[in-house]
Amino acid sequence: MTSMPQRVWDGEKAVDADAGERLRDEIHDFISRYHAGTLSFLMTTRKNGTPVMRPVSTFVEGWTIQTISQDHQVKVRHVRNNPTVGYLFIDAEGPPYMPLGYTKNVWVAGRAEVIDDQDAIADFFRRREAQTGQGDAHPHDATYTRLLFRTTPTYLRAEGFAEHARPVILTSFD
Amino acid sequence: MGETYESEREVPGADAAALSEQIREFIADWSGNRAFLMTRRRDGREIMRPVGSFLEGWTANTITQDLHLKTGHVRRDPIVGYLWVEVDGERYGRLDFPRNVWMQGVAELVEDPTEVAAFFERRASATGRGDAHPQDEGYRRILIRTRPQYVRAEGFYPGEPMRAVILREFPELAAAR
Repeated sequence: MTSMPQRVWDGEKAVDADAGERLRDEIHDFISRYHAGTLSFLMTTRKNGTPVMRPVSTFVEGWTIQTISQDHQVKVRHVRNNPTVGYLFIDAEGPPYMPLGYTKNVWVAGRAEVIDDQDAIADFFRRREAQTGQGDAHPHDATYTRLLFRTTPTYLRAEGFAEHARPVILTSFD
Repeated sequence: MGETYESEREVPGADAAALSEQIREFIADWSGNRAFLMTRRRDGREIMRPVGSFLEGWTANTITQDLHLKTGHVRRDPIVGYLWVEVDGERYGRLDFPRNVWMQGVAELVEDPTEVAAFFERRASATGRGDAHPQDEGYRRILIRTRPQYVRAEGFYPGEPMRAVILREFPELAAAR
């Protein structure tokens, strides 16, 4: 844990773009760990325009964040109505970087598309299984249709990677 | 529906109401969880960051600074959300999550220095934490006070922790109106 600088603001303002770029790979590695000590939550928007968040599984390829859902879940309707989504990734076990006990955390805002094509989803399960050992989590349950959210980030905010509580902001993801 | 659906569907309303106080106590235990606050930027996109939170009844309080972007966000758009995630708790479900609570609410900014000072006094007497930066005169303290409209909690339903507990009514707030 590091001590805060004398002026509170100096410990909280965003780092400059060059410093952010130097941390890009480390942030990418962090959100790609597939639940090895990382927790991920997905925000979607309800029909009345208010946001809601819940724990989800995430599998990241490049900067594309992917979550499997089911046709009966409300979050599918949310994303079809409004593709703006957000993910929060939290380090479940790492050391705190500030006195309130916070560990590394990354917010990613983006646009999601819903993949219905079952061949594409079967291919996703094969790729995920090859990398993580986790294919379809419910292979014996044929009562629902699998759907895949694929989210392309537009904005990312990471804390705990730069000094003190200073956030890193990334806005390009090529 | 099948077993996957059954393991994740919302719990009955009466069961949710019975868990309401336990959920409120969980989010009020500031040393046992970490809080994240969601606000909306000018372009409507949401953003989230870690914050401190102090609960009074169902009202969530967070101190901010006039310099912070989130202060402008709340001024323009009072719809906010909090996520509380348990620290060092038992894990539940297939993904090993700790208990977690989402609250969507409506925020107001309290800018009157006397009211903000009174908040610090109440917080100090309850938790031992008053103004976290008493020596820094470089910014103005502002209080974000949020009243919930919708709460979603996971990890609380006995025996079936992946089923979400949803609260849409907050009797204490209805009584105060």
